[in-house]
Amino acid sequence: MASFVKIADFVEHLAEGAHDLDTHQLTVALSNTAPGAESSDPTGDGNGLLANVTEISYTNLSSRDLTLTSSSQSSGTYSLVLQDLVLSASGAVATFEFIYIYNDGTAVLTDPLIGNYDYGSPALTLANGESLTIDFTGPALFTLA
Amino acid sequence: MRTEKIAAMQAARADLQKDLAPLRKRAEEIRVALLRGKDIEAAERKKAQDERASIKSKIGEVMDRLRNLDRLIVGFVRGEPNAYKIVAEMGIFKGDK
Repeated sequence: MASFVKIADFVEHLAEGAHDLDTHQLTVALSNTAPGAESSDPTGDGNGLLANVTEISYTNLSSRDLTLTSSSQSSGTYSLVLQDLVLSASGAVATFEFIYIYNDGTAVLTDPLIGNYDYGSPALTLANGESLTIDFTGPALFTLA
Repeated sequence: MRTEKIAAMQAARADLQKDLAPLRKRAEEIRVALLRGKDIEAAERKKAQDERASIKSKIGEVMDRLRNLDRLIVGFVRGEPNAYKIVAEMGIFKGDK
C-alpha cells in the first residue's frame, strides 16, 4: 500500500480558508521527480504548491480530475472520501512515479497541494490501452480530527 | 474494442466535468467574496449564501452522475492484464485532545 505523504503547508492552507473540499475540484498531478529532488521540495514549509512539482506531459492521458464521494464529519472526525480514479492511456504516456493530489478549484491560492503517493520503483509508463487505477481504499483520502 | 469503450466512458466523464467547471467557478467566486467581504450587509450575504446553496445542489446532481460513471470505469478495467493499480493509504491529520 502506498503511504499518504502529507504536504506540510496543507494544514495552514486549510486553516486559512484556501480549501472548500466539498465543492472544489481536486485533481491528480503526476511526476517522475522525487519531492526531495525538486529544487523546492513541495512537502516542505512554504513550498506546497503545484508550481514546485515537475509534472510530466499529460498527452494521451485521460482526465485527472477526482470525483468526490463525501465530505463530512462524524463525532468530530472529518473524512474526505473520493471515488477511485482510472487514468487510461490512448497512446504512450510519459513515465511517472509520484502521484500528487491538489486543489484545482480554489481562487485563494494557485493549485495548493494536499498530499502525494509514491507508486514505487520501477516507475510506470502507460502504453496505449493501459490504465492505472488509484484505489482510495483507506477508505478516505484523509481524516481530520 | 475495449480501448474504444474505455475512451468513450472517459470522454463522457470529461464532458460532465466540463459541466461542473462553471458551477464551481461561480460557487468559488461567492465563497471568496463572502470570506473577504466582512462589510457585506446581512440581506446581501443571505442572498449570496442562497445562490451558493442552489449552485451546490446543482453540483451535487452532476456529481451523482460522475460517481456512477467512475464506478463503471473502475469495474470495466478491473482484472485486465494491462491495468495497473496503486492502493492509496489514508492520511490522518490529528490534533491533541
